[in-house]
Amino acid sequence: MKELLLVLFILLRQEFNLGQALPFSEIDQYFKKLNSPVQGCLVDTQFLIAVTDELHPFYEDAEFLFEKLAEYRIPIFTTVTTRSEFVDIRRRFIITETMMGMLSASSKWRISVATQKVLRAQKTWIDAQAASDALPLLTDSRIKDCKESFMPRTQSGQIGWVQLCNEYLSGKLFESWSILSEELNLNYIDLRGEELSLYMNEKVHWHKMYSISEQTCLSSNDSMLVNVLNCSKFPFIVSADFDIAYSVLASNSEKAVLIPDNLHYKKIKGLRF
Amino acid sequence: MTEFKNEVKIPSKGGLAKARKRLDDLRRKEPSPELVKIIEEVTHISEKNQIKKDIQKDEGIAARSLHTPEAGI
Repeated sequence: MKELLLVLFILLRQEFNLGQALPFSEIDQYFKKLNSPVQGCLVDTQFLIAVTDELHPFYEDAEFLFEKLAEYRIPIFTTVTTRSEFVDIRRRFIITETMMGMLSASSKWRISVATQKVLRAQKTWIDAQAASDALPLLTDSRIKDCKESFMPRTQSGQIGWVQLCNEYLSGKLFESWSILSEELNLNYIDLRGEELSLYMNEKVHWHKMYSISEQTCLSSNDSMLVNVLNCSKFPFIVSADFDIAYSVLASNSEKAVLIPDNLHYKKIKGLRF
Repeated sequence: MTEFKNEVKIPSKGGLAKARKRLDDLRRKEPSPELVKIIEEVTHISEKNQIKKDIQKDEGIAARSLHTPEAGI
């Protein structure tokens, strides 16, 4: 009886097009049910990271979904928020790899014992992150702790940290986004123009972003993305982020969110609004 | 599923492998000898500074303890 009610509930949500969260594996059925042609879809930053970074817990799921989008010829759209978040994660990725590489026995680096101690403490945390399926990337606060070892108190870090950044980061962030955008054929929605984009039903306004954030305590960046989705002609967003899925599900809008199967079964499937 | 104007880009299956390879190539494996030297010097200066700071901190604690009521000063 309980299961029957659950099926009825899901069917009703689908019938009335209320916010849906679907696992990647149901993409074929989802496309079959869509009545109108799909002009495109939005993707979030976690999906873009998952599809390119083999350390990401949803690496294989993201690849599956990307290939499905290619198969169905669905254009992928990104926004300023996605770009800025992706670049930020790449920054943390590159600097984490550089810092941790200094501890490798085969590395050419020669760092002081004190710096080794600082970096080892960070590595312990990084390993714990990886073991718990979280992204093994240093946070900004941890990067700051490392930075202090490379900029003596009496100096600005001009010789040291700045040169390290110059050799490892310079040009890399711009290039990372260019590669992604070029090879994955990403489209970009520019929301700054006066004219309404071809892919938008309405202008994106700040006050709607506040409401979205307030509804489920969604971060401002994610709220901006969900706001763009709600104002767009796209029926769905591809995400690897529980918070975005939860927000779309809670919104009762006509939009859907496609998420990795594991995330769906563990955290979303049992939720009722 | 839909006909698009020319400017809209459509993802292709081969694109993902290319993106992954190019992003991987972007990773810098080895530091330049100049940077190795600079970092070695800087981290040792930093270490000396930290030792100095620790000594000053210890001396401060010792000096303050001499001024506690228990010390009778």
